[in-house]
Amino acid sequence: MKLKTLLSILVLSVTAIIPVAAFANEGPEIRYVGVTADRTDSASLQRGARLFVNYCLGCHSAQYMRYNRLTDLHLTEDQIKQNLMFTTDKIGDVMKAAINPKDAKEWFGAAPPDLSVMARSYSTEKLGAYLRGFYQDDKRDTGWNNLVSPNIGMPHVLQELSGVNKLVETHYKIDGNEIKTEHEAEAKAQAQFIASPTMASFEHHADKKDGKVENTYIVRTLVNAVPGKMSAADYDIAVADLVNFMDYVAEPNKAKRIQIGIMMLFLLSFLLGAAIWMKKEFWKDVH
Amino acid sequence: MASNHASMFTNPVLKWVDERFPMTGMIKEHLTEYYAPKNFNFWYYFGSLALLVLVLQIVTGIFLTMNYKPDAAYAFGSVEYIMRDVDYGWLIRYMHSTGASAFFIVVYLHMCRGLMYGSYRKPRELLWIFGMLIYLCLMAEAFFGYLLPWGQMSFWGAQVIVNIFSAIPFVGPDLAVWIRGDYSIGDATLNRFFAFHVIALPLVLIGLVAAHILALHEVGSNNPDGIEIKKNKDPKTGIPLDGIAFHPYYTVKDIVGVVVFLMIFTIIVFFLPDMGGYFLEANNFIPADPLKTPEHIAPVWYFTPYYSILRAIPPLFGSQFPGVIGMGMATMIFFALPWLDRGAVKSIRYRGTLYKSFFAMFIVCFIVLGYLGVKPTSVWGQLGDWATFVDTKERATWVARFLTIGYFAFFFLMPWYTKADKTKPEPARVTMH
Amino acid sequence: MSGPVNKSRRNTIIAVAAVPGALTGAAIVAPLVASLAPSERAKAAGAPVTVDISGLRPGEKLNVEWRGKVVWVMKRTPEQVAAFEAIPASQLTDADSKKSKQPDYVNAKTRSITPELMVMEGVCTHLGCSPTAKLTPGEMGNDWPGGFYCPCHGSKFDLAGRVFTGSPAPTNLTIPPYKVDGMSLVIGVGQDGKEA
Repeated sequence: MKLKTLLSILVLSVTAIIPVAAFANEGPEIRYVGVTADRTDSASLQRGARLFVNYCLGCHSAQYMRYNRLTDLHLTEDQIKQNLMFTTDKIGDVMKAAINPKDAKEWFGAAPPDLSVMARSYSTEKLGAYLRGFYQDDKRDTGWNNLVSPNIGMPHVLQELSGVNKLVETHYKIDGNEIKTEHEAEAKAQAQFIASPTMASFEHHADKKDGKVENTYIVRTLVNAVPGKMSAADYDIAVADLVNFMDYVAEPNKAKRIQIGIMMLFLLSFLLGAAIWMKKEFWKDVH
Repeated sequence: MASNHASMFTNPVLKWVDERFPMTGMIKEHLTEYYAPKNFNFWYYFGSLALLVLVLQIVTGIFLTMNYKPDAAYAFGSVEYIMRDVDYGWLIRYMHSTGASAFFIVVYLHMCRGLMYGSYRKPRELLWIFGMLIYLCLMAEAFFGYLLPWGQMSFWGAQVIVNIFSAIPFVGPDLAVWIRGDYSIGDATLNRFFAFHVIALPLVLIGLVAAHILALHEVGSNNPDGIEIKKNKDPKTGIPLDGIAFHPYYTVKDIVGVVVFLMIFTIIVFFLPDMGGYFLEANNFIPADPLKTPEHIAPVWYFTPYYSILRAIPPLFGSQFPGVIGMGMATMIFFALPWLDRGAVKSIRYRGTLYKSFFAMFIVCFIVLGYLGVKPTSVWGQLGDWATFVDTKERATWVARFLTIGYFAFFFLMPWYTKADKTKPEPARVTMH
Repeated sequence: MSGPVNKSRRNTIIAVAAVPGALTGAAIVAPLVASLAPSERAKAAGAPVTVDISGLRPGEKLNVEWRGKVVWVMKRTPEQVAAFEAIPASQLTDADSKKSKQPDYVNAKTRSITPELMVMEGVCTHLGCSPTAKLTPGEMGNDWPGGFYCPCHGSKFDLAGRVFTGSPAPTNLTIPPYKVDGMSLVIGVGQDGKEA
């Protein structure tokens, strides 16, 4: 094959593969500062599994995930039975919530969604931010609100680990003193947002007042009010483990898939060599 | 046919078959004695690749059908069942979902080849029409298939597309209900879409592909020079001087193309099955919920150029009908190509600047419209305060409007610019690069 | 076309290319074939079944479903055991159960771990019908010692599931892997820990 042809195949495949750009983001921008866990780290996945069965499985199911599958995490069936199975005694059963879905719907207004593929519909990053985004809010029935998903019906189930966080909201707009232009307001807000050592959200508000547009830039951060069982750093790791486990649950075959893919590419590269050789030999006839 | 050819087999069983079935005849006619121009380039891989993807889709589809349940209560779960509980079900599913997008990539490149080298022109008009019918059938097949996973995108995508039919004056709303078999997308819709996806359309598709190949072998393949190789035949054998037997020369060449394709396919299936949300959308991992619309609904990427055109055309008296007409025309107008093109030459190699500019503009329009179709119309922000007396200030909508005009200009002005174009003389014989 | 074509060279190349080609083909077909095996759900549904046998009275038979098949659990009385042990080998097709399927740990004669407790698949080895219990001696003619009769094609079995000569069934009824743990019987996993 000619170099030109090869190149054009490459260019075509690349343009076909690379998504042009990410979707436009609506709503507040969230900056997630924190640790992420490695999908191949089975210790992290095991810790995540423990958190999942203790804190999530009370209300949520993972109805497509079977307990015996957790042997993927280097656990024996006996270990799974003793440490992770609370809602059933059959190892082949799926991970069902402890509560009756009907009761759950009555208590929370909506049935808690199934978590089997949650990590595929929301990115792991967003899930992690969500689990760390809870803060106390007395205006809500549950007493909790969330920085990432405002006014969500779910209470903060990991409260005993994280403790209680409170919201700190800073508004930036022209005040005639420190901030004179809108540009300055935005720059100051951005600076605080980017410098925030913990998770933060940045929102732009445009209000019409007397025919004039008034731009406000809001930065929200969380501060700890009551400490929990874990330090902030340990809680971050715990959330990373939990999200890691949810990512595993969303696609348990991922590790195997990548492994087979590498073998398949290896095999195909041999075939490619042979095919090119064969083509060249036969095309000696063509002038 | 059998009587025309001495059997090529020495094996008694094959010989026995050959006396009763035109096996030798068919092999000769379509492979060993089908003479294709020797100057095929990169663009000529996509025909055989499309056939390969069709086979892959049918085979993986059959195995998916064995475990899928076309029932609104079980469909989503049965897909997850395939992904987890069935041995290698995940691989079969990813092959099928990637195959759908791969099919369109291959077919779009195949069509682009036809446009570049004038493969739709006399005597290949019917070949082109069969091809276009395959393309329409494929779009329908993809649309029906996309509902089956019964995720949020499946549901709302189908909802939006079926609602397009309600824009048709008078009969529209009733028509949409009739298509769905319910007042909104429901179990009945899923069941009938399943029937269309797994049996009705594949049957039509296979028939059309056979017709497409038969028509091709009747008129002979075009080539990058756009000249007829049948004009220069060896006086003794009657074989075109610039032709080479499809088998072995193009079979061995196409095998190289197949392997390269399989490598790219493997990379996607095993390493990027979601393709950043373009092949498998994140929202489709949420079960269909008729009470909750996702924030941003977009069709799958292969429909988006037409979807952009639909959105770009402003409603008339509050009816979306003009947009629907525009979208329909954008797909159907390809059928008219053989009669719109009045150029003295077929191939872009010998066309003048005028044609080349229009062609380049068309490709740009198609790609940018496709890009805008996956985005919300707010993607490029708003026009400034200077824009008054306009129905929308969204910049992307205006861009899409101009691109829609460009898209149609390529076709409607074609009789003029192809004729006015300063073409170069065609060579007498094919050229090898 | 210049120069003679070296046919043997071409054939060699084709043979070389055929190796990775065949492997690739096999790699594509393998997952399709694998997908037809019982899924994880089917395996979970076919998991071992535990039966409480504390209430089982002598002479009583219980039907248990395991993997979509009926498994008979019966406490045979000493008289019943004596009756089938008295049957001469000449009347049985496979008296020592050499050709029939049963776990290694069951007695070949009584076809059970302990003589009284019978655990047996109620599926005729001829064409898969479920035989009917004809437990009373004399029920099927004067010399009938008590056993099972398949209504489909008339195969006859004794109370150890051994097939009588003259029946269309080729082998004795199958014994599934099982283990007894006090008053609980587990069908589907054997005394040796092996699962079916």
